[in-house]
Amino acid sequence: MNTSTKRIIGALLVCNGILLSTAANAEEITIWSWDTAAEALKSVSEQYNATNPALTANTVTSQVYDQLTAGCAAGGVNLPDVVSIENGEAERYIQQFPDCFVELSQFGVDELKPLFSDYKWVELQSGDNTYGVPWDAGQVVTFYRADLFDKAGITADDIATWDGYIEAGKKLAAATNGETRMALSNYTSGLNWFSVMAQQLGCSVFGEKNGETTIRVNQAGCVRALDQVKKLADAGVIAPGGWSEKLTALKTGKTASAVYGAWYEGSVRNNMPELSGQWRVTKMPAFEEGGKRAANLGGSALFITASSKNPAAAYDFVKFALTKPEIQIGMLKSHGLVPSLLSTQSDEYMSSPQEYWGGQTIWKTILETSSDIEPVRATPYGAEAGDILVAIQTAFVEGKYDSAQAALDEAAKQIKNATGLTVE
Amino acid sequence: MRSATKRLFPKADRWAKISLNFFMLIVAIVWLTPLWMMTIYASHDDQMIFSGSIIAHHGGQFLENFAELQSKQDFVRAIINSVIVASAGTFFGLVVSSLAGYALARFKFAGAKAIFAMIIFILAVPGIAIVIPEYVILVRYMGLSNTYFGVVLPYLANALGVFFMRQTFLALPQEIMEAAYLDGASELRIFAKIALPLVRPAMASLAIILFIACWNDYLWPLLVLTTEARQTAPIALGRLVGLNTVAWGPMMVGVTLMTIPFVTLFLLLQRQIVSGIANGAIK
Amino acid sequence: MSPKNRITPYAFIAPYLIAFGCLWLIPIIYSFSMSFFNTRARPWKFDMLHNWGRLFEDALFLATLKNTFLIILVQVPFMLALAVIFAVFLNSKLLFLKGIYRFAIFAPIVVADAAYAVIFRLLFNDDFGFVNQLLNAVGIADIAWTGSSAGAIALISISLTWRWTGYNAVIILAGLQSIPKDIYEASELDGASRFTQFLYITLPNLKPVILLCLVLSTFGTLQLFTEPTLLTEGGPGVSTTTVAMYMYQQGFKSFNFGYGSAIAYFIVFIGLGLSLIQFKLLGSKSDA
Repeated sequence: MNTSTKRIIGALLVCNGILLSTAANAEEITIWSWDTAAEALKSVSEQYNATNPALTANTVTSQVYDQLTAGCAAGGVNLPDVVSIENGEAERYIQQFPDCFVELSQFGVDELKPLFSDYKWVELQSGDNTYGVPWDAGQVVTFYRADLFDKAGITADDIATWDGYIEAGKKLAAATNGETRMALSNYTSGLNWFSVMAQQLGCSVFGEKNGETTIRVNQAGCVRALDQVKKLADAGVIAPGGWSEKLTALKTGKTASAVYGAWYEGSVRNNMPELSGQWRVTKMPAFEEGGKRAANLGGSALFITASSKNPAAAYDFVKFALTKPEIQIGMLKSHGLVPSLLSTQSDEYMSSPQEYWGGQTIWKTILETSSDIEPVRATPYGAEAGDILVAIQTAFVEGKYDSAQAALDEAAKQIKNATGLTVE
Repeated sequence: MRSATKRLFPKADRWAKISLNFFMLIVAIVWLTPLWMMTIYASHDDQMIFSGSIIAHHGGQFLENFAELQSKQDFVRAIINSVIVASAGTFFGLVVSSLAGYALARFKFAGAKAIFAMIIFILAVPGIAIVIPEYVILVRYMGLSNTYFGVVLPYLANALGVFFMRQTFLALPQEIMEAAYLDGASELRIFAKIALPLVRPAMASLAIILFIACWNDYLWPLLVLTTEARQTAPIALGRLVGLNTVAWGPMMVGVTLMTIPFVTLFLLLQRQIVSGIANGAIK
Repeated sequence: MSPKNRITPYAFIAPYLIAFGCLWLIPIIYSFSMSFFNTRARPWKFDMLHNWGRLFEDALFLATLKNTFLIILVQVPFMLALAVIFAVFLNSKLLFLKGIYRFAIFAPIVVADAAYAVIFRLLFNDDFGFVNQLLNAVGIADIAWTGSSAGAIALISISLTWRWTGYNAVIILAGLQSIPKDIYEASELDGASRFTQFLYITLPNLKPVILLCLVLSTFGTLQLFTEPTLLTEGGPGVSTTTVAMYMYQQGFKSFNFGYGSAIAYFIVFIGLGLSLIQFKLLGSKSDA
């Protein structure tokens, strides 16, 4: 074993030598992204390279966050030129590591401001500085199985409100011998539905007062949202489940709908080709008839790292990828990444019927909600508050608090303890 | 002695024998089921895995699953990377640990006690706590980003390895080395020609312990190795779990690929491995 | 002994000390001192109790500490008892086909953490998993392995037991084999039953070995991270979040580097403290 080990070690030392000597090539920019988003950016890189022979853009699939954190903590080493960060995660990075990213005003990012909705910009800025350019959006809508709904006698109008959603769930269970639920939601491991509902009601975990970040999680809108989560769980129309469970449950007909960000379209379409024609989209449920049926969940932006050797070229690539309607529509078609670029709304593809979705013009439905979306900031404290809220939400659903108000008062207290912010 | 036992408890013996063997049979079945099911899942498509019925036989989808796995992640490459990293970590870890363990076992010198106490302390420190400063040193100051070498370096200083080798060398009869020493042999020669050959079985088992530890490591290689071409198997697996499209069949193929070679190796070298782990712990 | 040259021992230990100093000692000193800084302030501000003081007011931290201790107090003793039983049986003259059983129990030692966590996640899937299907087949309703706190704790415990019992059994088996045979022979002639022998000869002689397993398992549990992350993501709620996971969340997710460090070294001190207690309660002078 020893000789072969030595040979391997010898070989790898040689490899390292080669790698280290060729690593610094200023004519190449590297982009980090994840999963579907990375695949989409890979094809954008190819298009970019075809028109810009002087520069090579190279997209790498990466588990962005841990690597980005370590690279920024080490003072900007081992990082790409461009990196994608989800909107909700952006603030903790630009607050904690402002020196890790390039401030984009110098490249004229202000010209791009009118091209996107306001809610996409708030989390990419710190004071007057802008660090990122918006990419995709996560307009929340309800995806549902028309065939299963038909079987149970449910129509899209029935799920226009959350209470209607519960009633529909009961009908669905009755029609399928209890085999099929309305949806899985991550209410024991995350806050997707809670934060979306709170957003509808104009509440958020954090707010701002006199220029200071404050805690608002125990205000009326959030309390009502938490109550609604428990009502849904108590009625048995939803059950807990994470990402993979959700997809599996939808694929196997254990659940018939998903209330999720519009980027979920690509996941449904690519994971369940056999269910083509059975799916439909409608706006998310409101709290009362005529109430707000819009919220945002997720979506991301591109950032340029301060360690980039060629930030101007990186910015050129970012502009190419994010501000050209045809490129954005291309990523929507191939990977279901919904553009937040406003000019894409008038593209004819957006009003064309989608075969997978039974000929429905889903993008029209989805984009119509954009203007109703309330801007919400995750703040740098989002992750910490999230941990606390998940624990309390689970305990509340399990009946360990007398009321949603009591639960969220406790949450506010703990968040205050953790962050040192004041409760508004 | 055997006949004495039989004479004293003839009937109890038979029942004891039957129930003992039966109990262990059940345990063995339960214990092997996860690995068996892993190979079964690896050979079915997701439709079958989530069909809601018990699957007890192998399907014919293994190669299709393998092809799908490879199209999402170059898993074979990831396993090769893992083998490179773990082999290098094991080899250098063995060299460093046996040298240090030998010094602690054979010589009395100033600071020996302090070093030993530190080693015990290190065993209690969670790796996650120091991963960022470690990263700053290796990647920022030594420029070893995205290199196998950078991943392997921290594995050289393995507290458990030094502890293990110290205990092993302590158990050697000191007279042999003393005799060589009086014959005028250098310490390095005594170490290499006399002590090391005597502890070869223990080295083999430490090799396995170190190999498993390197093979298992997740966060450190994730941070240092930034390109897909260099990622190790656990990271490739982690990426599969986090993908938008979770395909269990292909994932199980990946798990099988990273498990079966070692289980087989274990089957072949069982006696050495087991006695090695045991010796290291007991002495 | 003393070598010819006083430098010799240092030459032998130098490679370790250099690697250790650069890659462990400096990071340890650095991260420990970080626990005394408010790392949210810009620039970082020295504040002795900012992080350490928060530990005991932090309901989440206390909950994760409780979860970790539950495993140390329930799963670890159960696993070690099982390991003793396996070792005694594997060592018994009455057992046939020892090789097969040994293989079955010891094989998990070489299975990677991430690999077995993924296998167990599928086996224990609430809706489609093999385990629930088996339970259904014998008329037992589905158990919510990941959907309920009790189920999730059971799932983590079962997984850990599968992975680590064999490892401990190996160590205990070796301990068994080093007990002098003549003690048993003498007691047999006195007419002692097997159970009496186990109670009065085997167990007392195994004490140092069991203690070692206990200390190793305690350290291991205090650093437990991979299994709950991949199996239950620490949920539902925080019911299976361990201290090590919480430390990761604080450091890598919330960027509270100082607080993460305080948690890390709290774990270190608890680990060292617990092993001291274990030595005091179970150990004799010869073990220390």
